[in-house]
Amino acid sequence: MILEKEVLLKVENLNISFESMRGDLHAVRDLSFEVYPGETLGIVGESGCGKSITSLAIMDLLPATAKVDASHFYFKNQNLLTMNEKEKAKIRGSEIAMIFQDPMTSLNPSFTVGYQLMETIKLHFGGSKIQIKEKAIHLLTQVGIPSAETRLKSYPHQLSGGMSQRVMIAIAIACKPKLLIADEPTTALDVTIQAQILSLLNDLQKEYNMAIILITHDIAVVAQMAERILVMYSGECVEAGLIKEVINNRKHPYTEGLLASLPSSQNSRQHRAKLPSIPGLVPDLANRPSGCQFNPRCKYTANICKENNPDHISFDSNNHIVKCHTPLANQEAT
Amino acid sequence: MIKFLLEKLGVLSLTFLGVSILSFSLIRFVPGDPVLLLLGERGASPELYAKMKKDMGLDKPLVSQYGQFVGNVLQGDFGTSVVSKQPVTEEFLDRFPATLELGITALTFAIIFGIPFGIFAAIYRNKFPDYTIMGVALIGYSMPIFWWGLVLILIFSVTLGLTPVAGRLSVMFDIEHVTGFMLIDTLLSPEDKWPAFLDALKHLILPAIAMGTIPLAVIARMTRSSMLEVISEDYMRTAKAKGLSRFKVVAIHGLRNALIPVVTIIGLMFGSIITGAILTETIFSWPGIGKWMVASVTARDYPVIQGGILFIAGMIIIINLLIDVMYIVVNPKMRG
Repeated sequence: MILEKEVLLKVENLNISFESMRGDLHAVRDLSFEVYPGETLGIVGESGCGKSITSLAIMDLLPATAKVDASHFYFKNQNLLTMNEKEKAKIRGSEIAMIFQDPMTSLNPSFTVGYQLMETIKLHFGGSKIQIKEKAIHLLTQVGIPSAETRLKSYPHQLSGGMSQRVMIAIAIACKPKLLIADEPTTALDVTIQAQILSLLNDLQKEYNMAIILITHDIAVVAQMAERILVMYSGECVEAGLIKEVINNRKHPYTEGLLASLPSSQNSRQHRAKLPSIPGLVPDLANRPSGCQFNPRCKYTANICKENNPDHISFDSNNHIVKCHTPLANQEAT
Repeated sequence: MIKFLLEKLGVLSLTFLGVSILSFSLIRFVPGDPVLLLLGERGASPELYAKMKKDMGLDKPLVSQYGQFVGNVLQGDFGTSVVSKQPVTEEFLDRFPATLELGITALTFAIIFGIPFGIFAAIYRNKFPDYTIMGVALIGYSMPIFWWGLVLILIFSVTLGLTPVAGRLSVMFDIEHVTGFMLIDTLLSPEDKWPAFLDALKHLILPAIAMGTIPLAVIARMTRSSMLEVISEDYMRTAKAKGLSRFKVVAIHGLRNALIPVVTIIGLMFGSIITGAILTETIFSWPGIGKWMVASVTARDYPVIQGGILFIAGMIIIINLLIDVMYIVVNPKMRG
C-alpha cells in the first residue's frame, strides 16, 4: 500500500564523518531508507548510534566539521547535497520541520513565544501583522495551549516543558510541512505529558498528511506511533521493516536485546527480576571492532562475525531487512 | 520594578556612606599639610599657621570634621576649594561635562567597533579573521594609555597634521557654554556653527580613541566569547531549522542573548573610563575632572578631593543603576 505512493525522502548509502584529532570518525555508514508521504518512520537506537546526526543531516544543521556523502539524498526529487544555502533555507521550516529533544533550551529565552512563532509564519507566508497574529493564535490553540492570545506574550522560561514542546510543535507545523522530524520529542518530558504529545503528533499528522521521522531510544514509543521501523547500531542500519514484522519476528540480536530490555508488566510481577540489559557499550567511533559492529556485545557471535561485516539480507516479505550473519529464527508473536 | 529600584537605592546609599568615609579619611592619612602648602614652607609664623588651621576647621578632631562634612553634604554644600576659593560643586559642574563628553564618545567608539569585531571573530572562530582581531585586541588591551596617547599625537597631530594636539576647541571660536558638551554647544551657537563643530570633533577624536582602545578590546573579547557560547545553544539550531538566513540567526537570535553579559561589562567600563580619564586628560590637556582631581591632590585641596570623589562615586553609582535597569530590559528572565 505504502509502496504505491511517491517517495518523499530517499536516502541511499548515507555516510557522515567528522574530522577529529584522532582521524575521521564515521558516525553514520551506508545508511539507506525512504520516507513516504503521511507515514511515520521510527528510528531507534542507543545514544551515539547516529540517529540524531542523520536527522540533522537532512536539515543540514550539522556543524561545519561534518562531511556528508551519499549516492542518493533526495527530498521530493531535489538533491539535498547539491542545493545551495538559499534553496536549503527555503525548504527548512516550510517543507521539512523539526522538533528537538529538549524544548526548554530549544526556544530562545530572550524572545516571546509569539515572536518566535510569528517569525516563522512571516518568513514563509508573509501577510499583515493581524493575519500573522491570528494564524499564530490558531496554531497555539491547535496544539492545545489554553488562552493562546495571552500566551503569545510569554517568555519560554514562563512555560513548562510540555508547554514548550507544544510551542515547538506549533512552530514546526506552522507551514504545514511535508516532513516532520521529531528528534526524541518526549525524552525530556514526564510520562503523562509524553502520551499527550505523542497523541498530538498523531492527530496533526492525520490532519496535515505529513510524514514523521520519529527518532527515539524508546522502542515502545515507536511501536505505538510508527508504521515502519529502522533500528540503528553504531551508525549502521541493523534491521528495518514494518513495525509489526520487526517486533513480532525480530531477526537481529540487537533488536531482540532492545525489546527484551523493555519493562513489562509480566516481568515485574513474576519475581521482581532484574531488567535485562545488553552488556557492554556502543563502540568507540575511532576504534571500531572488526567485522560486525555488534559482535563484542552479541550472545550469538560466531567466528565469521568477527571477520566480516555482514550485508543486508531481505526476509520473507519485501521490506524486512537484517544485517546479521546469524539472524534469529522465526518466533512466536509475543 | 519599583521594589527593585527601592532595594537598589537602599544598597546604594550605604555604598555612598562608605565612599564618603574612605575619601575623607584616606586623604588625611596621606602625608602633606594643606595649611603648610598654602602658606609656603618658609614664611609662616606659628600664630598665622594656627589661625589658618582654625579657619579651615582642621584643628577639630577628625570625627567632628567628618560629621560637619557629611552634614554640609546633606545640605548640598560640598565645601569650597582652598586653592581657588570656588565652591566645589561649581568647579565640578564646570569640568564634568568635558569628561562625560569624552567618556561617552570613547565608549561609543569602543561599542561601535568592539561588538561587530567580536561577532566577526566568533563567526570565523579559529580562522584568520579571528586570529587577527583577537591579536590586535590583545595588543590594544596591553597598551599603556599614556604611551598610546603620545603615539596617536605623534602620528596624527605632529606628522600628518590632521588633528590638534590639546584642548577642546581652538581659541578663534568663542562658544557659549550651554550644556557643557562642546559638540552640542557649537551647534547651538548662532555663528560659525559647522566649522566650530568640526573643530570640536577634531579635538575630541584622538583622546576618545586613546581612552576607548582598552574598552574596545575588552568588549570585542567579551562579545566573542559570549557569542561563541550562544552559537552552540539549542535555540540557534532551532532558528536555523526555521529557515532563517545565517545572518538573521546570528544577528537576531544570537546577538540578543550574547549581549547580556556584554551590557554588564560596558557598565563596568564606564566607571573605569571616568577614573581612567586622569591619564588621558593629562596627556591631551583636556579640561575635565581627571585633570582637576590630579591638581587637587598635589595641592592637598581637601574639600575638592573629598567632594570630587563623592561626585565621581555618585556618577558611577547612577550609571550602575542604569545598567541594572538595562539588564532587565535585555534579559526577560530578570523580569520574573
